Amino acid sequence: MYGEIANKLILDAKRTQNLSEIPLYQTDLVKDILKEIQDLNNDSEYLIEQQQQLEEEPLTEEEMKINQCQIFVTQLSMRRNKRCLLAYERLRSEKIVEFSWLNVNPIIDSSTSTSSGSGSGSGNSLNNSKSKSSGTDSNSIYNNYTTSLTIDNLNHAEQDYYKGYQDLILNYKSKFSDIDLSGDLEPPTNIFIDVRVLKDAGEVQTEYGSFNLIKDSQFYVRKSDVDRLIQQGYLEEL
Amino acid sequence: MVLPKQLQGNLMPSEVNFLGENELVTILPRYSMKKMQLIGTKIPALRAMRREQVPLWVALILKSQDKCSIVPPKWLNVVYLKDKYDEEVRNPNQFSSLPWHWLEISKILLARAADDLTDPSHQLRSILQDLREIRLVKSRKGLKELNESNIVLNGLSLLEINELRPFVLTVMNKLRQLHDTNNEQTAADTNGNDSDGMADDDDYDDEGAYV
Amino acid sequence: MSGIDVNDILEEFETTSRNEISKSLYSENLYEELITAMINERMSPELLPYKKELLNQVLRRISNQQQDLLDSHEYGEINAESGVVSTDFKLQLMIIETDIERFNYLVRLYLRTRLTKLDKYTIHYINETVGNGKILLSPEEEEYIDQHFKILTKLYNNCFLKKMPSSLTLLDDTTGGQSMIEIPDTESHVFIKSITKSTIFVTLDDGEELNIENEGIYVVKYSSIKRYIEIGDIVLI
Repeated sequence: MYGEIANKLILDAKRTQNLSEIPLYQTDLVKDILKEIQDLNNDSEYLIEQQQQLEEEPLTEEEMKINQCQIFVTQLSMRRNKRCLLAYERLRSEKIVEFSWLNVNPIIDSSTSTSSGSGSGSGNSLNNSKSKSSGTDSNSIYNNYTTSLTIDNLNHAEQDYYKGYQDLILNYKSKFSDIDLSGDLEPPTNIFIDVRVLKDAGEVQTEYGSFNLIKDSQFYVRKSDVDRLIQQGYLEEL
Repeated sequence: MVLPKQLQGNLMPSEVNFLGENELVTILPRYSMKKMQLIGTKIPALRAMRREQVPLWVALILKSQDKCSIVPPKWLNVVYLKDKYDEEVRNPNQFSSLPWHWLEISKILLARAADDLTDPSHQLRSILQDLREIRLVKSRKGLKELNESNIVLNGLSLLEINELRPFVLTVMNKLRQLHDTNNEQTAADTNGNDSDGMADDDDYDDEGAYV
Repeated sequence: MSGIDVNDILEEFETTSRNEISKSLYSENLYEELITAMINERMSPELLPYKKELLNQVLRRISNQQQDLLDSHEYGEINAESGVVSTDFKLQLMIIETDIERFNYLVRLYLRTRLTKLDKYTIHYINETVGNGKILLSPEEEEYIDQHFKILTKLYNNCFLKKMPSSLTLLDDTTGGQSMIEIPDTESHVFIKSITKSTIFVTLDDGEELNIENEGIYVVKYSSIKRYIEIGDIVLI
C-alpha cells in the first residue's frame, strides 16, 4: 500500500528521537519512497491526461468525479511521502546540530570504537553534568541529548551539513569571545568546592596558589581545576 | 537542538536553585573586606560584626571560608513557619504568602549554614515538609478546576509553580485543542448548511489534515 | 618587586567599575534584567526582540571583569612564589570569578534559547524579518539564520528534494491544504507574574475580563498578555 514505506521511515525517526547517537542513514527506505513518489506522479499525470481526453468525449458526471478523486488521493499520497522525508531529515539535522554544540570530536571510524565519545579532553561539559547528577539521571539536562556522532552513519549531504554547521557556529561564537557558548548548561552553582584528598598526589599548581595533596587533607578549590583529579580518584568532593 | 528539549519552555530544579541564590541575605562578617563592584551588583564594604546584605551565593562563599555567619531570614524559624502552616489550614482556598524562593533558600541554608539557624535542623525540616505538603495538596485540588482559558496561582513560589508546569500546560493545551475543534466543528456545520454545493470541498479539506 | 600592591588592584576594580556606572543607567538592575530576559525568552513560544542594549552592556562588563581577573591572576602568580597572596585577595577573586561564571551562564542560555527558536521556525523568521522594521534579531542572529537556512536547503535538496517531481521540489510548500512551514504557537499557555503596581485588564477569548493584580500569578494564553511583556509589566515565569 502506498505510504507504507514512509511509515517505516517515521518509525525509525521516532526511535532515533530518544537515542544519544544518530543511527545509520536509511538509504534504501529513502530510495524506495522516492521511487513511490515517482510512480504516484506518473499515475497522476496519466489521470490528468485521461481527463483531458474525456473532454473531447465527455463522460458521465460520476466517472468524472471518480477520476478527480483519484487524482486527489494520488497527490495527497505524494505530499504525505514528502512530509515524512522532511520530518525524517529534520530530526537528523537537529541531532547533528545538538551534537555540534557539545564541542566533542565525532567518531571517524565506526569499526574501532563503541559510543564512548572520543576526544576525552574536550567533552568536559558532558562529563561534569554526568558526575554532578549521579543517580538522578532522569533529571539530567543531557538526557536524550545527542552525545555521540559516527561520521559513517551520515550520508554525504549530511556530512557536508555537519561541516557547514560547525563553521556556522564557530563564526557565531567568535562574536562572543568572552562567553563560552558551548559551556555547561547546568547552572554554575559550585565553582569552588571543598575536596578531601584520598591519595597522596604531590603538589598541584592552580591560579589560586599551589596545594600539597596529602591524604586526608581538605581544600577549597576551583572545581574546574580539580575535575580531572576527582575523576582519577585522588580527590573527593565533600 | 541548540538547547536540550528539557530546557525548552521549562526550568530545571537546579536552575530554580540558581535563581534563588541571587536573593539577598544578611550576613554577620567575621572580618573586613573592601567593597566590590561586581558585574551586576555591588558588595558593600564588610567590617567584622557589622551586618550587611549580600547575594546568597556570595554569602555562601564567605561562609565556606568561615568569614561570616548568615543571619537566618525572618521567616526561617519554627514559630513563623508554624504560623504559616496554621494559616494554610485556616484558608483552604488560598496559599499563604511565602518568599518566592522559600524552598530553595531553606534547603541551601539547612545544608550549608545549619549552625547559623536559630532552630534545630530536624524541627525546621519537618515543618518545612508539612508546609510543602499542605500546599501541594491544595494546588492539586485547585487544578481540578482547570479550564482552557486561565488559572490563578497567587501565593505559590517559583519552585512549586515549576513543578506544576508540565501537568498544567499539557492539560490546558489539550483543553484548548478540544475547545478549538469544537468551535471549528460548529463553524463547519453552519457553513455546510449555508451552501450545499460546497459540501464536497469541505470534506476534502478535512481529509487534508489527516497526516 | 613589591611595586604592585593588593590594594592597588582592588582599587582598580573599583575605579573601572565606578566609571562604568556613570556610563550606564541600569547597572543596578543588570542582573535582574538579564534573568528576566532569559526566562522570558525561555518561556515565550515565539522569539522576543533581541535585548541589544542589555546584552551589549553585559558583554562589555563581563569582558572588563574578565580582563581584570586575568591581570590579578598574573599578579597572584608572581606573589604566590614569594608566598604573599593573602586570603583576602583570594577570596575576592573567587567572588569575582563566580560572578563572571554566573553571568556567562545566563548569557549562554539566553543566546542559545534564541537560536533554538530560529532553528525551529527558520522559514517563518526569515519571512518575518524581511522588510520588517522591527528589530527582532541581532546582526549575528540574522547571519546565523540565513546561513543555516542555506545549508539546510542544500541538505534537503541533496537528500531527496531534487529527486522529486518538479511540483514537489519546494521546501516551503504551503499548497495541498497543509503548510509545511512551522510557526510559533502564540495561543499556547504561559505562566506569568505581574510586576507592575497597577492592575492590568485583559480580555479573554470568551469575552470575559481578567484582572491581573500586582504580584499575581496566572496561567493565560500568551497572545493575551504578549504586549505587557514587551512593556515589562508582566514577566514570564
